[in-house]
Formats: sequence, C-alpha cells, structure tokens
Amino acid sequence: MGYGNYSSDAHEALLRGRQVLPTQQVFQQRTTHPLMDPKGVRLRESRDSAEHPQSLGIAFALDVTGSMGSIPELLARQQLPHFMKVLMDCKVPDPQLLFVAVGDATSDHSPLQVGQFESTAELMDQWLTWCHLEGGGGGSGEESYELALYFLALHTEMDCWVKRQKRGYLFMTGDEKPYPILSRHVVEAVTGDRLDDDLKVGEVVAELQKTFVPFFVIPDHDRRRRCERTWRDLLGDHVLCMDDPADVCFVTAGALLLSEGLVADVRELEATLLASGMPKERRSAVVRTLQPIAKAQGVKGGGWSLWR
Amino acid sequence: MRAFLLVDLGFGDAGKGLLTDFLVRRTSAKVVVRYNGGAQAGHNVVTPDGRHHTFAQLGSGTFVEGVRTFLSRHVVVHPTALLAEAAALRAQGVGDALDRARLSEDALVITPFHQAAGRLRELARGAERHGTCGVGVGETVKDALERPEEAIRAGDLRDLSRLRPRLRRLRERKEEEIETLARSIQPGAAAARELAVFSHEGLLDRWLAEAARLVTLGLVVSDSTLTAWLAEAGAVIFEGAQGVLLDEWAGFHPYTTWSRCTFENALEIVTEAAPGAEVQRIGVLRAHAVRHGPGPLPTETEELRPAVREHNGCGEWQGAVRYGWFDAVLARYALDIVGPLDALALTHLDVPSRLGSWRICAGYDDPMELAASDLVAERTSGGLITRLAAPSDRCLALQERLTELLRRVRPVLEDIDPTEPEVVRQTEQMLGCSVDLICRGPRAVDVACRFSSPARRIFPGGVISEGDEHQALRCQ
Repeated sequence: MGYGNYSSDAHEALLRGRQVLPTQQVFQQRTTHPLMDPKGVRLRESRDSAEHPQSLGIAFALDVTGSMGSIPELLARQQLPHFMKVLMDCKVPDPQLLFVAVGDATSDHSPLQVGQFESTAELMDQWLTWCHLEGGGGGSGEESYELALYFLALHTEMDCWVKRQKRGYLFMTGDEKPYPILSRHVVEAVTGDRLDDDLKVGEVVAELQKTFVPFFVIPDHDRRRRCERTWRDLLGDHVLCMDDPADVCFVTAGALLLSEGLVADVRELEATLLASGMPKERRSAVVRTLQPIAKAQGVKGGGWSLWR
Repeated sequence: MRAFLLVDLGFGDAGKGLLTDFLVRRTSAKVVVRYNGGAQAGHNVVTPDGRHHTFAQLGSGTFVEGVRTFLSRHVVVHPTALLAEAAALRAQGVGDALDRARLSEDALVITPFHQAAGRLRELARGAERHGTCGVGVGETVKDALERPEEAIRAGDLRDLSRLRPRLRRLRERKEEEIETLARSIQPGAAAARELAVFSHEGLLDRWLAEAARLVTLGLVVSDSTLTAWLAEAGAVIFEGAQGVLLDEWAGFHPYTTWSRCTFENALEIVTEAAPGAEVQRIGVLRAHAVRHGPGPLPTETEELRPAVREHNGCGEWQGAVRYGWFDAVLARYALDIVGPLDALALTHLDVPSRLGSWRICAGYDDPMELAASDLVAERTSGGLITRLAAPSDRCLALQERLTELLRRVRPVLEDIDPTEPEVVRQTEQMLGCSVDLICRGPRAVDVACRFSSPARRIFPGGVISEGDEHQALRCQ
C-alpha cells in the first residue's frame, strides 16, 4: 500500500499552474488545429484491432457556426465527451468515433475540421478540445455541410465496410441547409483535391451513402423550419428533430441501436437508454424523436409498421 | 455469480495487485470493485510480457482486456490523480482504462486543500509523524466525519456553480485550521509549497475544471451501475486496499488508516449489489513482515533488504519501506479479526531461497509479564505471548495500548530451512490453517494453487502438486 505518486504529480502540476494532462488546454483553439486540418489528408481510417475486432466507424459532425448559438459549446464541451460511454453502455460493439466540425467555406477560417477515428472517450475528447468553435458562418441560410459529406465519402476507410461490407454511421448536427453545389474551388482550397467539375449535393450524398448511413440531427424545434425540408429531400427518414440539444448522445445512440437491430422494440430501446444514463425526464422526448426511425425500421412500438 | 473478496493480512504491500490480476485471469472476472482506502493505494502488477504499473485508483485487473473498475462509495477519490494514472497506463499500452472505470457519486473527493492541509499537519508533527502518504485521504475522511454536510462527493462535480462557493468556504476553513498549526510547522520549502495552495489564485478554478472531467467523461454514476454490471458478470473481484493491521479500528493506533481494511465494506456492497453471490474470502500474506513508514514492527530487521525486490520504495511522504521476519503473532491477530478464510495466499516465497537463511517469530518474550492480561489472548507456559486479543469493541485507547505493548516486546526468533516447502509448512502449522495459493514472483504466472489445497475447486486451471513445488510453475 501507500503510494502517492499520481496524486503528488497531479498536486505539483496544479501548483505549477499547468494542466495535468496535455489534452487540457481547454478550448483555447483560435484557428484550425494543425492535426484537424483536412488539407492534404489522404485517409482517416477506422481499423479493427485485437481489442476491437468488430470496429464500427461512427462520424459525428457538428455545425459550429454562429446560427447554432451556444449549442456547439454545449455539445462539444458537455455532451459529446461521454458519447463513447453511452455507446458502450448501450453495448454497441467496438465503436470508433470520428469528430468533424463544420463551418462555412465562404466566410470561415475553419470551414472543416476533422479528427481521427478513436476507440476511447479520452482520445475523442482530445479532438473536441482541439476543435475551434469559430461561431462564424454567413447569413445565407447555408453552411458547408456538403464539404464534410464529401470528405467523409472520399477520405475515410473503415474496416467495417472494407472487411464486412457493413456501412459506418454519420450523425451531423446542424440547423441550416447545405449549399446545393459543392464548388471544386472550395474542395481544392480546403482539402487540396483537384476536381474536374463542381458536384451537386445529391451526388455527394449518394457517394457518401455507399459507405455511411447518414443522419441529420436538428437540435431543437425552433430550428426545424430553416432546414428540415431540404434535408428530408436528401436523406428521407434519416432526419431527427430533437426536443433539446442536450439529448444528443441518447438520440444518436438510439438511432444506432434501432438501425443496427440491437433492440427488439421501443420498450427495449427505452430501457437500454435509461440504463446507459438517460435521465428519466428525457425519456419521452428522446423516444418521440426516434419514433420515425423506429417506424421506418419496422420495430414494434414504432407506430404504424411498414411490415404490417 | 461468484464474488472474490481480497484482504491484506498485514500492513499492506502483501501483493493485492498481483492477486487481483491473478484472480481476474483465473476466474474470468469482468469487474473489479475497490471497497476501501483511496487514491493512496499502490498495487503493483507485472504483465506476462513484462509491462509494469502501480495501480492506485484503477482496479488491478485493468491490464486484462475489458475488465472494468468500480470505485465504490467507500473509496476516497483523487480526481486529478485518477487522470494522471490513466495517462500512465496509456503509456503502458492500455488506452481505454477510463472508459472501463466508473465511480460512485457518493465517493468522497480529495481537494487540493485537503491534500495540502494533510501534508502540513504531518509536517507539524515533526518526529512524531504518522507516515501519511501525502495524498490527503485522512484529511478528507476526517473532515467528512466532523462535517458531513460539507463533505464533497463525486456527484457534486456535476454542478460546478454550486460547488465553487462551497470549495471557497472549504479553502477558508482549511486555511484557518492551518494557521493554528503554523507555529509548530518547520519553515522550509516543503511547507511553503503546501501553503501556496491556499494563496495560489486560480488554482481553485483550475482544479474544478480538471476534476469535472470525470463527469464529462461519464465516470460518475449511481450505485445501480454496479448492480447492473454484476447482474451479467460471472465473477467479481473485491480488491482491498492497505491491510488489516492498518484498519482504523483494529490497527495499532495512531499508526492506522482512515478506512476499514477488513471484509466489512465488501460484504456490505455484495449484499446490496449482488445478494445471491457466492462469496469467497481470500487473505493475502507475505512470507515476511513489511510496512511503510513509522509504527510498530516487532520483528524488524535489515537482513532481508538485499533479498527483497520492491516496487513501492520510499515515498516522499510515507517514509522508507521496512522489513521484518515472519511474525505469526501479528498474522494470527489479523486472522482473528477477519474470521475464517476460503483461501490464504502466501506471497514473496522466492525470497527465502534467495536470502539463503530464514527466521520466523512464533511468539513474543515478556518474562516480567508486563503485558496487561486484557491485551493478551494466549501465552505459553514459558510466558511467551503467542496471541494478542482481537478487539471486540471500537476502542482506540485499547489499540493504543497494544501499540505500546508491541514496542516493548522482544520477538523470539527461530531459524528454519530457507526452502519453500518448509516456509509453507511452518506457516500452516503456526497459523493453524492451510496455505492455498503460492506466489513466487510479481506476475500472475508466478502464482499457483496447491494440489493439496481444499480451495482448489474455487480456482479452476493449473494447480501445483506437492512433488512439483520445487519445480517451476506449470504454464497456465
């Protein structure tokens, strides 16, 4: 017994005024962190390992522009750090999380920031910490979501797909429309890729859907009217309208459980989410948000079933 | 569901880390529960491929993939040290230790003000030091007993706006307490550094931001989490900290710890979280006596030092590690306190042969019969004390008298053959119970269950037969 080293180190560090872990330069990023700059990145990889033999790539893209108000702060600082825990508590096997921040290519310094696929909450948290919450964006009612979709479609490689033909997941939180056309100049400026032509957003989505199951998550009801229609045209049922942005971990975990067939019915979905820490008072709001997915999946308790 | 409860029958350092790692590997337990002590634990584990880590707050089963740690409400948590420990483990190739850990929202939290105040109190004791680890566990527990309503618990880290003013009041109060001590503290660099904790602007907020990471990472949970874990676990290990002889009530006052070191807390948790579990009580004892820091150690000797390989050396606060010959009187006392065991593990059995000679103490000499009769349970016709009276009540005055007695007695030492079978045989004979697990080194593969042991059925897998005991352990 009797060991004081970690606590002595921590105590010393506190006294010397530096943080215990290098990852805790808490949110002081003023520009794109060099490690999150997509320029010249060939691939972000999600790979199987001995510890994680059934890896499942999951990208979480967060709109960090001004229209989102304090939501990016809330999600990146308070909610997403325990997303990994929620997924593990929900018994999603071997999740690997990639964090992406979305801005506006026409007006922001950081129109796209991309982390790496990570298997632990701590490493995922590091990308959240490094992320620059610019709070910019133009007044056009559009943000460069399609740029993030493009990057994920062309610059990721996931063992779940390569080895098992099982698509990864994308959850993109935002409150505006994508630009209808992805300019090849924007693509070159941000990623370095040279394209012959501009791309239509529909083409980008179609490409993305080859390897990802994308969801668009609208943080609250007030923000629906700005964008819901456009996203429904692109993604159909896969648009989730939350009651409160603080539900994000449970809504996305729930969508994953339903899509992966990890729960038999809505009651089991509820129980699993409660067991993984969903506050009781949020139960009905979360289930309401997920109802359309449950219905589309033909899950019992999901309302009218396609299979009936 | 089987629950393996592990207790150290000495002053700590017996090999709880090793045994926890062994049990996790042997029983395929998926959960390790810490049921006492706190961030001052130092449980060493060496993996089969030679990686080493000293576990302080994370469970000693963490090297094994997927094994989770639950820090129960009886554990005193040091949030920033927990983060530092996870970083140290990451350097050993275990990146997901925090993902596999949860802590009870009711666990007490050590603040930098407790840590500094505890250290200053120890500095004020001068030569009369108690041998603190300098972590702040004692100060935090004492505070919580004296002012339960002001105690800070892990769940409080969820709401920083409410916690901040409480922490400010705590800082003021601790500073006042320290001022009354100021005269007896030797001025010096160590004292100045700890005093700076109270004057250092910004330290409070920086600590809050870091400590709250335990909440943002999702570690702080209610006790129902453990119930859910155990519902689907085949086996669970309850990893004790410190040792019975340091127990707050049964140890030798004042050289004790602020925690129960018996099976008590573990049994309480089993009853709550897994009432149907089959309980196995396992005691760990080292083949010779050992303790860190001041306090009685009747069989103390310097002769052992060259032969012992120690991971926990001299702590900055705790003082040097001390060794003694095997002390059957203290071992009997510990066994009397914890009650019957399902298995006893004897560790460091590689030391006798390395040293080349071995001595054991079966009793203390007290020719004048100075010891009061209420402290002694058994005495030979020759006046030799062979058994101390285990306390039936919580009485620190009595324990203090035991401490005094242990300082006065003279151990009677006997030379025995420095071979493993002989050391094991003598131990069994003197304690009147079987030695079931034999440990000859720091790794789980150095531990084996004896073929002759009645406890064999509870440890599936390789055993070691009588004839085999001189041979290397079978590969498991």
